[in-house]
Amino acid sequence: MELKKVERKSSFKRPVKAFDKMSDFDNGRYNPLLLHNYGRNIYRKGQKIGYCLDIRIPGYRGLPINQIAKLAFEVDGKWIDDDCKYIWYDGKDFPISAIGTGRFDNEWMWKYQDYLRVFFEIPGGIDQGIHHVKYGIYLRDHYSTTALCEKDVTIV
Amino acid sequence: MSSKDIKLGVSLYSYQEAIWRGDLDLEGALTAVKGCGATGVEIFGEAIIPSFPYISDDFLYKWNYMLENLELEPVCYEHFADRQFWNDPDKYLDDDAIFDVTMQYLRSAKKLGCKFVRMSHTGHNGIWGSNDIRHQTVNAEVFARLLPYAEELGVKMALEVHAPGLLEDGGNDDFLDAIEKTGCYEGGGLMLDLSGCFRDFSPMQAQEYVKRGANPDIIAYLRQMSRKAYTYDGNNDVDWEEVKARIIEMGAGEVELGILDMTMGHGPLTNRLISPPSVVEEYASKLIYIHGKMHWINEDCTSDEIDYHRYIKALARGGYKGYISTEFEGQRSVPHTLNEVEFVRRQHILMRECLAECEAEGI
Repeated sequence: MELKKVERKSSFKRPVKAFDKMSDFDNGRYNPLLLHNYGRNIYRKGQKIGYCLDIRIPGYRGLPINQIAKLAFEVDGKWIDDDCKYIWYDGKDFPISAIGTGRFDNEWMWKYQDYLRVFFEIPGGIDQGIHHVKYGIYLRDHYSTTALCEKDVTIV
Repeated sequence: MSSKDIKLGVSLYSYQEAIWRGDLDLEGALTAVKGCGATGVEIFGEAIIPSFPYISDDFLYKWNYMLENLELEPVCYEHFADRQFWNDPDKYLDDDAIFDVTMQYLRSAKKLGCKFVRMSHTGHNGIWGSNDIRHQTVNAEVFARLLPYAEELGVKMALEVHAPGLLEDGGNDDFLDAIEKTGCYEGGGLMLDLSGCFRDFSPMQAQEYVKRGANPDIIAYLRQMSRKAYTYDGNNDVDWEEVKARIIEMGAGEVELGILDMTMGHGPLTNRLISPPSVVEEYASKLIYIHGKMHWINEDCTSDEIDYHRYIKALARGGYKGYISTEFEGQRSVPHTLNEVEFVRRQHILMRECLAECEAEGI
């Protein structure tokens, strides 16, 4: 069926940033509750193998896990590399690099009210105490949602 | 035509933060809808339904019970059609996949008892949008294929026209053409989002400019000029060059001058893209649904952003029959600081007052 053609003018500039540093998230929507107030070290046989932070989804709806484009963290001013990031959610754990590769069904949702646990595999973990955390997220949804949160997190 | 044909609802989008924080569960949110005097509900599957994209029997049982108990009517189910799920930028959902995704929403809407699906479509911002398929949602070709199925299900696809798009800008002509060519008039139609009717900033936005260093007197003057220009009461001539000269004289800096060029993504203040009441009246009988978008309602239940009295009168005069569902969005600018329930309550008092005025005037 041949339909009337409508040429649309572009009104939105999509981000062209790499989101590989915290400053790339500066224009994102700030939400003070995107990060849980507490994080935890993860022990194996008494030894710390890394630590976790719990994060939430910005916006007004849950989204498929595959729509996570970037999850960025800076802890006490130190950038955390993607190589050590794992997601622990809904009974699954997997490296962040598995997102967006076709490994997961697009119907598998990060639910709107849920925390997503991010595990940083850093032998020795982190000292128990208050740490300053910056968290940035960039989603692939058609609004290209970018959000950030910065706060003190107590890591046990 | 009668204002009695206009009903009031609430999109649960309005309570998005309270739901996100867990302050309101579904029953709490629906109770808030009932409490503000609305009779209709719009629901977001992605925020509310645990088994999304499917509707479990367990959820349906509770949903139907709560609606019946609160005497509320399910009105609209929100739809999204994202295409990008992969790291590879050249990989995206094609039109066949978008068709399948949307069919699921239509079936879910039917199951929930909703008469409308608020369609994510490429005409959402009228003539403004992306021509890159990866950033598009439902296009007119997919819409045309969906129309007969929607009609058969008894669910209408509501083509939301949201700022900076306008009802009259021609940005939905391809979709309206699809309805004409398929003859599926019960499958879809235009819906208005009131973001296309803003005449002024909200007080919250004005405060934000002041926080960024603007002179409050200049902001007050710009608001006065904005209202003058965009009230469309026959006295709306504003010479923006004169306004610019005046605010420079008042000491305007970067923030104040920036407002003249661009504000809120609805076009520059000097050429705000809105549909005046006369256009809304002309389109009213063709509209199938309305989002009552707002960022702020004053404590005395008045609005700076929109002249509700003129617009609701225009809708009633033009023969609009259907729901205006609140879409409160002010919370998104100042997270976790506004009481969503209170703003929705105020807007419903204002809208009921407008409908009562229409009735008193025999409209």
